[in-house]
Amino acid sequence: MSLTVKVTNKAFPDDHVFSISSMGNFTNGKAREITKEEEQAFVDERGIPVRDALSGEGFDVSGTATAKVPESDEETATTTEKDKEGGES
Amino acid sequence: MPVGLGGGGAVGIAIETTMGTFVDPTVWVPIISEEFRYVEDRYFSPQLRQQVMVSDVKQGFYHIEGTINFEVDTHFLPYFLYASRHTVTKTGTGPYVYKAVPNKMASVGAPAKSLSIGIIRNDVLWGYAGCVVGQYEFTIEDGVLRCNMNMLGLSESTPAGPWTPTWSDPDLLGADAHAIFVASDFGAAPTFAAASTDFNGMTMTVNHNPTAENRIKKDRAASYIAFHETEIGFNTELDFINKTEYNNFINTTQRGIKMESTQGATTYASSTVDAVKVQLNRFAYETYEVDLPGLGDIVMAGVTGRGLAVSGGDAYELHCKSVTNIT
Repeated sequence: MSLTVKVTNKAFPDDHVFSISSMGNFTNGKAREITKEEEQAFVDERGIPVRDALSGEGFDVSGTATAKVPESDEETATTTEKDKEGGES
Repeated sequence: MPVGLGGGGAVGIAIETTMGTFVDPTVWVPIISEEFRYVEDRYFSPQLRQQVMVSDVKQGFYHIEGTINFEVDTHFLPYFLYASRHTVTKTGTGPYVYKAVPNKMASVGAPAKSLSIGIIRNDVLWGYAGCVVGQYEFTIEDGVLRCNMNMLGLSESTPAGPWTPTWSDPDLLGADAHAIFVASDFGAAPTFAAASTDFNGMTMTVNHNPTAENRIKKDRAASYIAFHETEIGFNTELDFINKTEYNNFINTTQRGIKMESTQGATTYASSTVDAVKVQLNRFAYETYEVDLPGLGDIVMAGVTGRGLAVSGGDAYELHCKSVTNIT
């Protein structure tokens, strides 16, 4: 089972459609199961899991995440530096 | 972090419960551009100590100054109507009809609302609290109704986030949406007849001349935003056909003027949604300039108008029909 996302904004009518970058369209107040590809595309763009990115007001996320979260550039740089130091010692 | 582009950014807004207490954005507004600045009266110490340059620096009082330029979209305009020296009435059960008129309050308080403005610039979050609109400039640019707003805010913060913008489809008011009407009289409800076809462009401005006020407290942020004189006006160009309007300028003839922007061929009155009306209930020309232009150029009159108070009515009205339900 993939993730299911619901966007709710009471300021807008029920049939209002919102789009989220890399994740597609969501009708206000209606849950939609996102595909693994959509989840991965979103995670690749944002660099954090969907559940973390949509932790704010107006979002409900359920289900099991499958996307692999990429290492950030900073983490990669740190790791590389440590590896280098470790290799030299 | 790599460099970023403006197109990767976003501006979100939220109505504040307490003015100046930042609220994460709940509505994301597609804008053309923004400029928000931390503006501080920084103190540099001019102590005399046998050196001829300032010798110390301390943080001073600060406030936020900003502009938002956006294509008017009725999903979002009502938020900005509330956030100023306006009394806003909302009628209908959806779509809703918003009408903002001026009041004489010196600062924002109920029924006006302040906004928190969140901005994502190159994936970095910026928060501006206690924001209000000091000036609206409605203009038809490249056929599309735009609004340029000058804003002031109380304070800046670095929100924790994360924020995930949610976007609505664009709903613009294009070249076939606009009509300008000049009334035969002025007052609380001027008499408007057919739309005029002589206007070449139109910019209507409402300026409350706000200032950020800092008072002594253990906080450098502004204490409140004060509004001063409200200046209302418009500028445009008219085809010069005869001296009728020139004589109206000379004689300080006073009338009403309104600009309507609606979807399709409907008037504002018959539209149920996606409609905007900016109306000055009493104006007089302030300047009227007509010259002979170049050999092949049309003889035009450059015109500015100044809005005046209306006894027993409102000097101006900003109307918007929208599906958005602001509570």
